[in-house]
Amino acid sequence: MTTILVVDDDPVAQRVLGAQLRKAGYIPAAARSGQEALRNLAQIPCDLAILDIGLPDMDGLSFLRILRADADHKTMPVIVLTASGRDDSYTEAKAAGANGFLRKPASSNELIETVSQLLRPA
Amino acid sequence: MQDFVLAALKPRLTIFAEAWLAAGATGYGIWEDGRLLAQWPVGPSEPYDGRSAVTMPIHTNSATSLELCVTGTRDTAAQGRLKGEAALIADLIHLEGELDEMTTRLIETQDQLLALYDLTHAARSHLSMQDALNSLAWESSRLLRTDSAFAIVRMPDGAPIIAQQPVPYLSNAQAGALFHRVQAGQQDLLTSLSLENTDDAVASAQASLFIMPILVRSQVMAALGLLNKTGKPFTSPDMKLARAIAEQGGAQIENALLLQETLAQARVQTEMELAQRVQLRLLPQRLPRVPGLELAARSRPALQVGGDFYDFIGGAGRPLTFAVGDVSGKGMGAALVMSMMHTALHGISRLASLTPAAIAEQANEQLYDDFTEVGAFATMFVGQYDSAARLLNYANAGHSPVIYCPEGGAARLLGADGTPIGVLPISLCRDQCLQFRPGDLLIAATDGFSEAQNITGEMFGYERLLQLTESLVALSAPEVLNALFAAVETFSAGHPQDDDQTVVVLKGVSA
Repeated sequence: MTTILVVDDDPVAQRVLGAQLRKAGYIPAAARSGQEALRNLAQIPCDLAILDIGLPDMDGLSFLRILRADADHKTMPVIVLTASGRDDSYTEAKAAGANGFLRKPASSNELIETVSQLLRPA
Repeated sequence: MQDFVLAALKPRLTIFAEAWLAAGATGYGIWEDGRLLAQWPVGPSEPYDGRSAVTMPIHTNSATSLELCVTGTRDTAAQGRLKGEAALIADLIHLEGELDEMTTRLIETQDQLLALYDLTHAARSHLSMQDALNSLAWESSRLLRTDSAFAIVRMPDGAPIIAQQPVPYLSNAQAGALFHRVQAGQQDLLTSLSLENTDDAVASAQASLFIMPILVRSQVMAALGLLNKTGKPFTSPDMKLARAIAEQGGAQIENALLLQETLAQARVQTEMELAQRVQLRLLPQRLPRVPGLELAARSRPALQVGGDFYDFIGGAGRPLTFAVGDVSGKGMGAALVMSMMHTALHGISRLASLTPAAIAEQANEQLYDDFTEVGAFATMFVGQYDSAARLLNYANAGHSPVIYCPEGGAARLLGADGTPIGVLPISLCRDQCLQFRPGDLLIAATDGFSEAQNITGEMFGYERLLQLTESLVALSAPEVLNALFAAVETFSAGHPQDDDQTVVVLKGVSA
């Protein structure tokens, strides 16, 4: 079963993303901060991470750079979520190592399509 | 119990477990159908030993049986305490279920709103109805993840426009027939259909279809259909979202219709403005100078163009000949017929010096067939002034009102003695004659004056015109003209001008 780590400090966003992923047959694992996400990743094998840019302890892109520097999670697919309408958000996320980019709120179809594309074997 | 529910309960269970362990218990756990879900302290699970454990069932609506278990305690109060905890856990499980239900509904609504936003965004740049339908079908198929979608509109002129995206699986006849069914039934249709229009080997014999009528201007003018070629059924959330998209589609179709109509109106308006300019050029651009006469003339159509006409015909060395007339109808049709009259009169006047009755006869002869063809006719008053003899010769082909008012005398109508142009194959007009001395007044108007209405529906009428004429007889021709228009305007204030208003004024003056 595919486990997807959802890193977002907003409890409502956690519930909504969790429900959208469960409906599509994935197992969501929740983390409300960058530190918690790093702890969870050390204990639970995750196949993909969905990462909110605005985390309480560190911004999402900094967390992403830490992840990419870790040998175990260098190649894990990561989708960055942002509410920003700025076009350069996408560029910054890509430069930090994001594989996908979604604007909040994401429709179920758009979320699942992005996840399944990234999980497809190359 | 679902994993996410257990995950939500764990923090509370941890608090209970730690309190039990601190009070001397050796273990605390939650079991489902004899299977351990979670335990404290965390570690290899101890075999379930009912003798040294206190257990309490957790009553939920689930078909499985849940229970809390504490080991290593025989405290008599343990049962009561555990019972309280079990009740609390049961409530938390119930609330978690309700929260999950609300989250599902929230996601449905969010998906709906995002789909409608995408649809509106995609439709912004579409100008034509075909583009609007293509966009609606494309977005519907994409948003609802169906194999295909089709949108069909029955335009006001009856012509259907169909769009199928991304792949056309239905023939136009099939799409049309489906539209008729929802239009007749005025409700959604869930059905299956064999596909005729596909070479796709994967497509099954029976595709599943969901078609919704779309109201445009309170009528079922359009429909949106979704198609799954493999027969995959439509879920209730899908149909709910589809209905929201169909309703949004109705607004887009209405916008496309309005745009088309506005463009058509703009084209017509441009043509009407051109027609108005042409017609104004057909009217005399200046008044002729005639010894012994003062002239004034004006035409005001009810619409941009009209069927009234006046003209001064004849040439140098000939007596002034003028005509005032009224073509049946209003607007562009009447204006076109008016231009035929203009051409005929000018052609006739070049041939020879004809009397008014002869002019009317010639005009009737030239125009009878054409007027009959288009169902038109025209009233016409032709006058001819002999300056030397101060005589006004005239012929009246069904025209009214023409008012003659001698100086110091009573105004009277010059009645018609012939039928209007185009009514009979022969003209019955006779030449008539009256003395036209200095101070005399002739008003040859069209019935737009006599039939002008006020806000109570009362007409200006002949009596009023005759009295007005008598009151104006001392004025100059231009003053009479202005007074006529002013009087009718005042009378009919608040009521729109129903008919064209045209008048030619002749005032006898000393030579």
